[in-house]
Amino acid sequence: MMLKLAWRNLWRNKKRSGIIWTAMVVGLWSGLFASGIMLGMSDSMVRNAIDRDLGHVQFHLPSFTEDELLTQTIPDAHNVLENLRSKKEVASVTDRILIDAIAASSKTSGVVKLTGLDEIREKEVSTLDRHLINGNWLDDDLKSPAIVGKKLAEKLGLKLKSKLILSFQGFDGSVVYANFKVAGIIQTQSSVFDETHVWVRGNDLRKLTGRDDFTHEIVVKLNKSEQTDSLEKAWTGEFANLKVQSWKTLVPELKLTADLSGMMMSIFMGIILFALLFGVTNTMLMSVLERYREFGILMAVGMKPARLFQLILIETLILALSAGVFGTAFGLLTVHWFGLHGINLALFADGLASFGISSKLYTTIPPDMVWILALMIISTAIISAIYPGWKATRLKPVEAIRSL
Amino acid sequence: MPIISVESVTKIYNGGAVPVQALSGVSFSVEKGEFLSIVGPSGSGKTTLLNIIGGLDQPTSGNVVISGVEVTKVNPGELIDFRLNHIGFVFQAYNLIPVLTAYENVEFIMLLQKRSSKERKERAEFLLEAVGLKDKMHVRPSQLSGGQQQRVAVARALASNPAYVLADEPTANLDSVSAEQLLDLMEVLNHQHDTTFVFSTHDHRVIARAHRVITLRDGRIESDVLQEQKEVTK
Ligand SMILES: Nc1ncnc2c1ncn2[C@@H]1O[C@H](COP(=O)(O)OP(=O)(O)O)[C@@H](O)[C@H]1O
Ligand SMILES: [Mg+2]
Repeated sequence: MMLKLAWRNLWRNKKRSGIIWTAMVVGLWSGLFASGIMLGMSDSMVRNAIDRDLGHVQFHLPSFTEDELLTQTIPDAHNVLENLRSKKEVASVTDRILIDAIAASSKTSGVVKLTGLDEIREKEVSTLDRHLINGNWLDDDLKSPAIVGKKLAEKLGLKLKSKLILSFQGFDGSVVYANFKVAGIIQTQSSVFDETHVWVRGNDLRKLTGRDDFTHEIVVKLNKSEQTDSLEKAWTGEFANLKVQSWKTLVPELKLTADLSGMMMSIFMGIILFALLFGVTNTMLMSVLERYREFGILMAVGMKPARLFQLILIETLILALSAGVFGTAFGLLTVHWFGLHGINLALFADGLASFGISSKLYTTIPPDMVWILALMIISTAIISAIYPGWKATRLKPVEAIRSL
Repeated sequence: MPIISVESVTKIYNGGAVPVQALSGVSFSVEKGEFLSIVGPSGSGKTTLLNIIGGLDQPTSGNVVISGVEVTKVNPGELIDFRLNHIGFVFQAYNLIPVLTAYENVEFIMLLQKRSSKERKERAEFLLEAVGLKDKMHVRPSQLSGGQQQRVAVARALASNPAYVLADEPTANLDSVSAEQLLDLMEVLNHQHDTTFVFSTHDHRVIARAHRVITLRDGRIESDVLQEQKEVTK
């Protein structure tokens, strides 16, 4: 009966109920859509970094992370690689040699991070090869091919097939000089990255140093990125002699970006709901004041104030929760749809790509956010009922009836 | 024992700039089955008196005993239940909940009393038939005439099986034909079911129908007379 009464009362002033209902639906929908875009952007930044070279989990010698020396090689790397490849959570694995080196052209020279890759496996783990803007990948026919960042190429005046001399300290402490030929030029979203990196075949470096089976870094790409944290933990135990780090530990700023946009979304939705709270309160208050005399008569004939409060609460809950469900459902559907099909950002702005965001944006909302949002909506509904409901219970029947 | 007993009731309103003495030393009692009218010019204290004997307002001094209960001593929460179970109310206008049908308006009171659905259905149908609105049972108040709405209000007032029905100027917003019909209805209910009615009015034709008339003037009882009645025929 209370439900029936509440439901019909909401239809009494269709326009007023409709306006606040629509405002809630639109507010939640647009809030969710905007959050989906925001989270999609940060997700894309994180994903780009993971895809470019980071991978989900990396393995090093514990001491390597402090001093990047040639000698800090992973013991028994071959078996570690085989072991990881056999795991079902793992999508692909590759290894890298990392050396501080000096790159010199005929013109000038500069300090670089020299990376020795497995040219076949690297393509399964990272998207480095897809950032080539010129020339070919390291599986080129050239003898001793090297790939350089665009910025570095400009700095050293390198073109395709230009000669590049790389020098670094070998295992015995003596300096190794080696001739490479530029096979390709890479451009990523980060110009700093592009200015400081040179990639060659790992096996070419092994030949140069006279040791044929060493590596510094093992990079793992997982089937499911959500498993990153749990696997980081499990592998820390399993590979006790190695330092196991997820992308979150490796680049804390990246984790911060992801966390921050989650928090921003909560604050953002909180602000929207806070504004809606006043709207709903106001609507319900108007509806209570309009029915002052009616409530007076109800209390006169025997309805208790608590019942009246209950009625207002039910009315508010029906209004706010139905709008909440619709708004959230529409919002999530929109986010889901654009999560599958993407929004073509090139239509809006060319510049976005330079922030490390792909030109196609895929919106996303983490599932646990939905629960937080549901909780926020329910509390908004309840809070907005309190004042109008209290107001109704405070009325004096005698005065309310006289106020004709 | 009288069902309503009013003993030296005084009411002073202190809300405004000057205190208003609405009732001064009013005493009378009402027996079961009476058909009593409280009359007097506007401002004479009729509404104030009805509110007090309806447990809606407290007297400044004096005593009101309803069905043996001293209502001036009942706490506000219990007073609501007391009103629900002992008193039926008919107000001047807009008595009904607009979103409920005539039937639901009558049923609502019994829902507050937590009566069984069978009981509610039987009594609501019986009462709506008694007030002559069986065919309008599932119609909302807005589709009823003023007179029909007041008849539904009477049915609602009786739904709780009250000791008596209080009606404050129930005919004030009605045309004379509807007013007559409402009085006919109340008289029949009074006659056939021994229902006690206390109603206020300043309409002479309505006053003529009462069996007993208490006249108020400036918050005092000016006269309290029994009137000779024509035979009521059904
Ligand atoms: N809430 C109130 N505050 C102050 N004075 C009031 C209030 N209610 C009624 N009065 C005064 O009390 C007197 C009696 O009023 P009322 O009982 O409404 O008379 P009636 O119903 O016969 O017209 C009037 O003078 C009226 O102005
Ligand atoms: Mg009056």
